[in-house]
Amino acid sequence: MNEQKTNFDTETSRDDSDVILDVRNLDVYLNTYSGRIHAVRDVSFTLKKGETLVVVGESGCGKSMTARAIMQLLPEKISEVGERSQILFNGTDILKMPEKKKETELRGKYISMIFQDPTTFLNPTMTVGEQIAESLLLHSKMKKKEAMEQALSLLKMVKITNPEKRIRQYPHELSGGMRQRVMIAMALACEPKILIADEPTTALDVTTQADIMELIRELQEKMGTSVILVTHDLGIAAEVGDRIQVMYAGEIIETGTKSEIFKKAVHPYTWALMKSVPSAQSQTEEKLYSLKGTPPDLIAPPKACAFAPRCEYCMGICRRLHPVMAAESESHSAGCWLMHPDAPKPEQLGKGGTI
Amino acid sequence: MEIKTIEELACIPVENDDFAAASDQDEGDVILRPSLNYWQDAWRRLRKNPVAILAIVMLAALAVMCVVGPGMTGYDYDAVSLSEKNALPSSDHWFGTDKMGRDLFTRVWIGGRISMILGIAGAAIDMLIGVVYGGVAAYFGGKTDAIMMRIVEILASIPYLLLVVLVSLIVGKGVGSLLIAMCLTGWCHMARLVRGQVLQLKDQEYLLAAKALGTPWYKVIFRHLIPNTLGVVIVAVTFDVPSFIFGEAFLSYIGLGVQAPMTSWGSLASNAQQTMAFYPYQLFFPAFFIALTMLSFQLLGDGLRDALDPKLRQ
Amino acid sequence: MGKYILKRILYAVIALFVVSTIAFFAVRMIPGNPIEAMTEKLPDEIRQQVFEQYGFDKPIMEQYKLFFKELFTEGDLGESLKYRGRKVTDTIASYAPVSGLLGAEAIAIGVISGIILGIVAALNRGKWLDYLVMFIAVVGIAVPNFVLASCFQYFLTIRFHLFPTTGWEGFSYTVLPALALSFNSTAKYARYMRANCLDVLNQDYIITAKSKGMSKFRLIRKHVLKNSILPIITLLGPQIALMFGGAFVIERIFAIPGLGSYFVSSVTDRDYTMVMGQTIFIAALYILSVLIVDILYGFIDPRIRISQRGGRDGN
Repeated sequence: MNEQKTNFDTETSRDDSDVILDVRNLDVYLNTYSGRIHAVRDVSFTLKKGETLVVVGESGCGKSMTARAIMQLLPEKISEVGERSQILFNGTDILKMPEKKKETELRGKYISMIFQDPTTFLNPTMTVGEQIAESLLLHSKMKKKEAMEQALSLLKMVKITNPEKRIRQYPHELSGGMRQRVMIAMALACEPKILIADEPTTALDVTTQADIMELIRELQEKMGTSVILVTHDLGIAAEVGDRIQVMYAGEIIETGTKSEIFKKAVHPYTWALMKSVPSAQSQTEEKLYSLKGTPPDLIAPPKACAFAPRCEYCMGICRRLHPVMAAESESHSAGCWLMHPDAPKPEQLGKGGTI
Repeated sequence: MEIKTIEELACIPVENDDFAAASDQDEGDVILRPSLNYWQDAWRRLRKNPVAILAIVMLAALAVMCVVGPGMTGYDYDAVSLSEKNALPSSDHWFGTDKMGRDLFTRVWIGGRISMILGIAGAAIDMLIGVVYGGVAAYFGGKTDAIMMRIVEILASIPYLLLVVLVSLIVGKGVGSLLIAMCLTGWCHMARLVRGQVLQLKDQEYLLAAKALGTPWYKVIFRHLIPNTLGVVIVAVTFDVPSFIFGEAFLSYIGLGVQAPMTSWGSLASNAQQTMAFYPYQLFFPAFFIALTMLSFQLLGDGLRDALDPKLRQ
Repeated sequence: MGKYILKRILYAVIALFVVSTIAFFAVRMIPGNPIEAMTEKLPDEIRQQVFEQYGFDKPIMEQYKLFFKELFTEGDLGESLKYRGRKVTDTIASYAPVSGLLGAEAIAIGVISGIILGIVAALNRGKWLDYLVMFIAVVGIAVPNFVLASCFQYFLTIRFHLFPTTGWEGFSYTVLPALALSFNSTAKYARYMRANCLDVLNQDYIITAKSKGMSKFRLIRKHVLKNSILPIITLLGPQIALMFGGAFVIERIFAIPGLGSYFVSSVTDRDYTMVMGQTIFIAALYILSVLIVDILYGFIDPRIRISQRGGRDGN
C-alpha cells in the first residue's frame, strides 16, 4: 500500500483491553535464490482473548509466514521483517524483544504453535514423554519427574489411548492422529495465551481431522486460549472460526465474523473460495468451481489489485489502483473496488455469474 | 493497512472508464522468473561457484600439461644419464632428476598421463557397469532386483584394496591389469546409486505415461531414466576419479603398480619415498600433483553436487 | 529386527566365503607358478617333501576342501611359504596388536576431532570458521596419507627432531603415524558431521523445538547433536578394519612392525600363503566390524529400530 496511508488508526482498534495480540503493518520479505519475495504485505489485525481467528488462503499467500512471524520463527538468515511492522503482545512489541527474552518469556510459554505435519515436526530420537516434558522443564520450576507426570496427564487430556505406554514411545511408533495429539499436548503444556495452529489437520486423514479440530476447540474453551488457525480449507473455518480473515498474495483482502464472511462476503476472491468448497447442499450435477490462473509472483508484487488478473468482475480501476480496505460494518472490511459507491453491481460485470 | 469507510472510498478520484468491465487483455500469468531447464540451471549455479570454476581450470591445466609436458624439455622419460643422478631442480632439469638421472619434469607428466588415464578410464568403466547394472536391477525390480542387489551387497562387503592386491597378483602389472583389478568391485556403489535414483523415478507419472504409450523398455531406460539419473552419476564419477589415482599410488607403494621404466605419480612418489630424507624434491613434485588433482576433483565434485542437486532448485 | 540380523549375518558369511575362495585360488593362479619357481632348485626328494607339507601334491579341489576344513575346525591358515614352519596365524597374532593399537589411536583422533570440527563448521555456516574447517577437510581428503606421512616425517623428525623417525618403542613413536593415518578420517567425519548437522538444523522438528522457547545452546545439545551424531556410527565399521588394511603404507613408511607392513613385505617377498592368510584375516575383520556396527546402530537409533521392527502400532 502507499506510504502515506501507513499510520494505523489507534482510536478505532486499541479501545478494547481484551485485545491480546495486535499486528500492525506487518511486512515479511524472503531473500531467495531467485529474488526478494515480499511474502507478507502490510498485514494488520487483532486477536481478542479467547477467540478463534481463522486465516484462510491458497498456499503461498503468506498465511504461514504471518503465523511464523508472530512466533518469531521465520526462516533464519533469508527473512526480514519490515521496519514499520509491529507485533504487540499484551502491549509489548515482540519484534523489539531481545532474543533471550523471546526464548524465556514468549515462545512456548505465552504463544505456542502446532504444525502441519506431526511426522516431521516431532523429534524422532526423543520419546513422546520427553518432548512434552521439555516444554514444562523450560518454563516452570518442575523437576524431571514431576514434568513426566504432568506430561502423562497432558496425554490424558488430549485423549490418547493407553497414555502410560505412549509416553515412552517414539513418534514413529504412533499414528498420524496420535502424533498431532502429542503436538497439541506439547503446545498446551504451559497453558499459553495464544495457540497458533498452522494447517493442523492437512496431513491427517478426513476422519481424524474432525477429531483433532474438536479437541482443539474443547481445550481452547477449557483454557481460554486464543487461537489463530491457519488453513486453506474454508470448511474448517466454517466449523471453528469466530472471525475469518482471507489472505491473497500476501495481503488481507477481506476480514469479518464468520457469518459476515459466509453470508455477506464482498470480495470476489472470497466468493471464489466459497464456491470451490464441496458441500452437502450442492448436490447438483454442476461441476465444482475452480479458480483459473495462479496467484502473482511476489518477487514483483502487483501495484494494482493483485487479484485483478483472475477476477471475473475486474474493472478498469482494478488494473490501475491498489484497492483500499473499506469497512462494511464495524467488524467486516474488504479491499475491493466493487465496494466503491460508483461501482456497478457485480451482476452487471460478471462473466461467470454471481454466487 | 488502514481501513476507511465507504464514504471515504467515494472521495478517491476516479477516471472515466474505471468502473467499466476491464477488457480481456490478459496480463494474467506473467512469468517473472526466467525458466531454465535442469542443465541450464545447474550450469548457472556452477558458474557462480568460484571454487568449482577454479577446480575446472586447474584440471584443464593439468590435462594440458600431461599432453604437452613430456615434449617440453627435450628429454626422454626413460633416458638414463648417470652423470646427472639426483640433480636438484635447475634450468636444465626443471624438477631435477631421479636416482638414474632421468628428467623428473618429463617423468612427472608422463606419470600424470598414466594416473589421469587410469583415473578417467576407471571411473568411466565403473560408471558404465554401474549404470547398466543398477538401471536394469531397478527397472525390472522384483526377483531380478533382489538377486542383483544381493550380489552387489556381498561384493561391496569385501575390502576393496585387498581384493585389488589379490587380483593384481593374478593379472599382473601394467595399466590394463591395474584397471581390471580396481574396477572389479568399484562399480558397486555406482550401481546402488543408480538403482536408488531409478527406483525413485520409476513411479513417476511421465514414465507411466511412456509405458502406457507402449514405449519399449530399452527406450524407457535410455530416453527417460538415464538422462534423469545423470546428475547423481556425474557427481559420483567426479569423486570416483581420484579414488583410482589414489588406488594406483597405493599399489605402487606395495610394488604392484606400473612397471619401470613406465611410471605414474604413484610410483614416482613411492620411489622417492625411500630417499626422501636426502632428496625431498623428488617426492614433492609427484605428491604435489597427486594432491592437486585429488583436490581439484574433490572441489569440482562438491560444486557439481551443489549445482545438480534438485533439492537446491527453487 | 531378528530377521534383519540373521540376514546380515548370512551375507557376512557368504562374503567371507567368497573372499576366502578368491584368496585361495588367486594364490594358486598366479602366473609363473611361484611355488614351482621357489622349489625349482631343491633336490627332488626335498621338493616332494615340501609339496606334501603344503598339500600342493593333491588335486586343487582336494586342497580347497582341506583348506576350508582346517580353517573351520582349527582356525588354521597354513604356513608361510618363505619361512617354512612359521604359522600364518602366529604371525598375525604377533603383528596384529601393533596395528590394532595404532588403529585405535587413529580412530579416536579421527572421530573426536572430526565430529568437533564438523559441528563447529555447521554452527558457523558461511563464516570463516566454516571455510577453515572445510578447507582442512578437503585437504585431508585430497592429500593421500602417504604424502602426509612423508611430510610429517621430513619436517617434524628429520628437520626438527620433535619425534622419533621410525620404529615402535613407545608412545612417542605412535604419534606421527596415528596422526597421518587419522587425518583422512578426520576430514571425512568433519564433512559428514557438518552435512548431518546442517540437515538436522533444516528439519521441521527443529522449528518445533524452537517454538518451545529454548536457548540456542540447549537446542543444539538436546535436539541437534544426538540426531546428527548417530549416523556417524555407521562410518565406524569400515574404519576399524581399514585401520588394519589401510595402514599398509603408513606402517611401511614409519617402519612399524604391524600387520600392514608385514602384508606389504609378504607381497614383495611373494610369500603367497601368508598373503592369503592375512587377506582372509583382514577381510573377516572388516566384514565383522561392519556387521557389528550396523547391528549396534540399529539398536541405538530409534528411527532404524522402529523401521526394522516393522511399522508402528496403535490406531
